[in-house]
Amino acid sequence: MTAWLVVLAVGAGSYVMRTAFVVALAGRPTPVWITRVSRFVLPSAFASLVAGAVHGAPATVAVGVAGVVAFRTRSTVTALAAGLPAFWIAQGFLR
Amino acid sequence: MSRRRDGETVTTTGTAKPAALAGARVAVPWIAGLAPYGFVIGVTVASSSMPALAGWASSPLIFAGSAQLVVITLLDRGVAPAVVVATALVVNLRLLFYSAAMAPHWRGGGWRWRLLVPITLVDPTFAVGVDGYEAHDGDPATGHAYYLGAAAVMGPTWLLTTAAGIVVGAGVPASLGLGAVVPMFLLAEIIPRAVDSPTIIAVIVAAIIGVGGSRIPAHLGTGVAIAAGIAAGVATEHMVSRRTSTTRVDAVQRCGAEAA
Repeated sequence: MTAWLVVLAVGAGSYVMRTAFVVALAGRPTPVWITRVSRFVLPSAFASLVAGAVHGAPATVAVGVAGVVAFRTRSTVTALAAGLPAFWIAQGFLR
Repeated sequence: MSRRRDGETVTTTGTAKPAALAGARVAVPWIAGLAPYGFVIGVTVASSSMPALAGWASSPLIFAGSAQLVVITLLDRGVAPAVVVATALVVNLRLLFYSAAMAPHWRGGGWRWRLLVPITLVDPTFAVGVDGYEAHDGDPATGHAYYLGAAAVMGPTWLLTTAAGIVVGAGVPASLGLGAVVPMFLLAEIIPRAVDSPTIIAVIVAAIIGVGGSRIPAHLGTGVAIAAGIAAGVATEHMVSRRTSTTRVDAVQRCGAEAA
């Protein structure tokens, strides 16, 4: 029940932001502070989530490998494709 | 903010159908990025305490991967619902930009364009849609068709891949390591963005507070970590820009004004 309410609330809030300038704030410029803040939001949010999402040694190895591959290739898909086999190998050794 | 690549301009025929097909065709390569992302979100739902249907419903209702990931992850950690909602909405603030950029095209399009079509507005539909409106300047009907063609490919891709992630994730043993996909994905998304010192500082501060965040009461740790990361980024940027000479700042601002 709580999960549904949260999803509905975030959905409603996102809808308001999507329509904000089309419907209500028509013609007004975007506030400067949003421009300032926005480029740091996603990196900060994802960085705060990474640490708590890693559980166990094989996952730590996999995330490390994925990080190096992502740095080299700039490709998320390649990073995942390298990280998962690293998880399987690490699991065999660190069991 | 808008990007226009050569070779993607479509011949203006005056009819909607070719434009819709062109929009759909341009959207196809984006599937390579959208499908794994949607799949990761589905796997996250399957491996969390969230009810599968509510987790999937976040795809049509929120329709923005990063905010969905925040909702699913934070709910699973027992964070207070109000904090989860606030954090996810901060992550979605960028939608205000997209709304502002689309407003000139959508405002005159009738109630469907003002109230229904914005539901589909998110990073990839915006990127492709803006290209379409620029390529068909002064021909809003063709721009509209182009946008809808792209959205008609991207939307269903998102709904289907999140569903697939939930179904597959529920039936896969932990030894396959799908649980590690989420942190791998998050890290891989951070790294290409951490290109200048303000962003790198923001990431480091948010990560450190995120690690120690479990000691912050009322499960406010993630929210505090994100806020601190943003603050550190803005502060660093402020210091960096003050150190650069005035003439250079002026030049940068002039370039920014021309690009906008």
